[in-house]
Parts: sequence; structure tokens; C-alpha cells
Amino acid sequence: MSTQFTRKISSLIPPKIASPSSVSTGKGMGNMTRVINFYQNLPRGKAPAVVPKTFSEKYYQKYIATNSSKPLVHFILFFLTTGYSLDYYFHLRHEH
Amino acid sequence: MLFMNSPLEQFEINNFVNNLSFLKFTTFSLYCMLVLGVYYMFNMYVFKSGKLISTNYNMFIEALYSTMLNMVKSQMGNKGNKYFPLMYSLFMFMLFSNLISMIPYNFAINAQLMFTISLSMTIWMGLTMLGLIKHKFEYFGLFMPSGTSLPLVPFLVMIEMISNIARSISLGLRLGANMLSGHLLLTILCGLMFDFIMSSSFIIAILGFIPLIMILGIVSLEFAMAAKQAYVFCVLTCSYIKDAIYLH
Amino acid sequence: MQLVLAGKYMGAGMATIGLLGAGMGMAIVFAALMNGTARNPSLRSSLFTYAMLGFGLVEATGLFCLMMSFMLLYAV
Repeated sequence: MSTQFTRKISSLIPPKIASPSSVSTGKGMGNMTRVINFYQNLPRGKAPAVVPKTFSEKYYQKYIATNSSKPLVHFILFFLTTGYSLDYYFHLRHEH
Repeated sequence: MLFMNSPLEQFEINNFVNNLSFLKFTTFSLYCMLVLGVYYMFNMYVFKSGKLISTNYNMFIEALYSTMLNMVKSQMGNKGNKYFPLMYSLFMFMLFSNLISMIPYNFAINAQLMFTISLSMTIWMGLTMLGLIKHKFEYFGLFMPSGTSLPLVPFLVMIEMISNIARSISLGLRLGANMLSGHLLLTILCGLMFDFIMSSSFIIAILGFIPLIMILGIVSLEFAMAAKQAYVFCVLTCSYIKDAIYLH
Repeated sequence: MQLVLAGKYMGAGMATIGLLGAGMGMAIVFAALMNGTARNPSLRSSLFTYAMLGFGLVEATGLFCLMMSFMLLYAV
């Protein structure tokens, strides 16, 4: 999990492609080629849509990425059923 | 058919494993795990997409995070940054366990006075050790406010010491008593309303719906309390840590 | 036995007298919040957090009373 996390962080931080000294030495466009190359090679257009495969990915795509309020309902329903079944098992079935 | 049970029955700890004496898996442990699972879901699953634009669920967690960060910074300054993970996890644990216990039929972890008081005693003991390690004997200067006249010193030291020791209990007792009395109040009120509604007279049954408004108000108060007690617990822990680090 | 029961109920009722102090404390907290906000409205947000903290502490003392009376009613 930690390796995945660090990889995500490093993908958010832009790489160091131009430093003040390399850009401002005054040799015209020569030093800018690295910068231009970097930006030319970046992928363009829309990001490719990820096809969800597992249940958790599907759930994420369907409810959380769309800012739906359904996960809260699922949360409450899950705890209601858990609590009721526990209460039934320990108390309610003895009361007849 | 209808049994009137004691309202304290909801705080009973039941054991899942009956045959093994060395293994105790209780409802308490189950709910601790569930809270941990919710905590994990909110912090890992919701943050899964590496996208820059966050979802509303990310915003929810980030708001909690920044609240706690602001609180720790305003209480302890920059020295307190390394206590932030402790405060954040304490707050999230309290908040989620309090909110889960507000869902009907669920077990209230924080209504167990045994648990909250032992938690607060652990925190207090850790703080005392922290202060003693950081300041050696000067830590006992905490018990004497500056500018006391000499005849008053023994009394003031006694009083300050007692109030410092009482913190270890009052911190947990505040949280536990709040949750305990809140759940008891809701149970008793709902029982009262149930008695009214199930009565044979039609008019009394209609009258029984009037307390519903009051119950709605109290339920929302309890939700506010669930969040606020978690916050108060963390603010007080922060200020105690501040005392141990800075000595007044 | 009846006397013990009567004592229990009377004790539970008397334990709630302490709520008087909690009510006064809450009133003082919010009165002070309003007073402070009226004098300096720019401090509202920081005053509000302190007021909430004070409210939490004051309400806890009231709930101790409530807990006492519940304990007397159901746990003794």
C-alpha cells in the first residue's frame, strides 16, 4: 500500500525540467529544448476511461465518483442489519 | 408479547465465543473492528482515485482533517505537529463510533465507562511521562502557579495536584456519561411513546404522537453531542499535551 | 422494601436538581458569546469555537446529574 501511495504522490509533483540557471544563461533556444521536448511528449486529449472490473471499482465508479448520496444510505442500512441481527441473536429471540 | 426491559440492557456486552475461556470476542470487539473498517474505507477507499479534482467524500475527509489540524496548531503551535496523528485518529475513532452508535440497534462503544475512563487514564499517564521526560523535576512547577505567596504554597500545590489527577477520570467520564445518558434518554422516551401508542384508547394513541416532535429534537441534539463530545475530548487532550510540553 | 423504593425514586428526583446549575452555565456561556460578538463581530468564528467548548463542558455537568438519576432508577 505504501509503495502505491508514494507513486501517486510523485506523479502529482511536476518533474524538474527547467532550473533558473539553465534557462537564463542566454544561449537562445538551445537550453529550452528539454522543456519543449517534455511538453511535446505529454499525452494529449481526454484521459482514457478506466473500465472497472472488481466490485469495489464498480462501486467507486458508480456511486463515489458521481458524488451520489447512496453510499450513506448503504452505510446506514448495513449498520441497521448488523445491529438488528446482533440484537435478535442475543436478546429478541429469547423474549417469547 | 411485549416485554418491558431495563433501558440499561442496550449497554450489555455479549460474548460470541462461549466455549473458549481464553478467547473473548465480544460485541465490543466487533464494533471496534467495524469502526476501524469505516475509518479505513473513508481514508483509503475514498481517496483511491489519483485525480486532482476531488469528490465530495474527499472533501468531507479533508474538512475533518483541516479542522483537526487547525485545532492542533492553535492549541500547541508548531511544536505540537508531531501529536497531530494521535489527535486525528482519536477524533476519527470517537466521531465514527459515536455516530455509528446513533443508528438504531447498534452498540455504543463510548457508553462503556470502563473503556472511556481507561482510555483517558492511559492518555493522562502518557502525558505525565512525557512531561517528566521533557522537563525532569521542573515538571512539578506545573503544580504551582507563579506569583504565589509562601504561606499559600502547600495548599495550592495540593489543590493543583488533585485537579491534575482528577483530569484522568473526568476526561473519560465526560464522554462516557454523555453517551450513556443520551442513549438512556432516547430509550426511555421512545418506551414512553410506545406505551402511549399501543394503549387501547384511541385518543391516548393520537396523543402519543405529540412527543414525537420532542424526540426528533432530542435525536438531533444527540447527533450534535456525538460530534461535539469527540471534538471536546480532542480539544482537552490537546490542552493537556500543551501543559505537558510548555509548562503553562 | 416499599421505603427503599420510595427513597430510590426520591433520590432520582433530587439528583436532577443539579441541572439548575447546568442551565445557568449554558445561559452564561451563550450570553457571553453574544456579548463578545456584539462588541467585536470580527472575532465571531474564534469566539464560537470557545463557546462550543464551554457548552460541551457545561452540558457534561448537567448530564452527570441525569446519569446519576438514571443510575439510581435502573442500576441500584
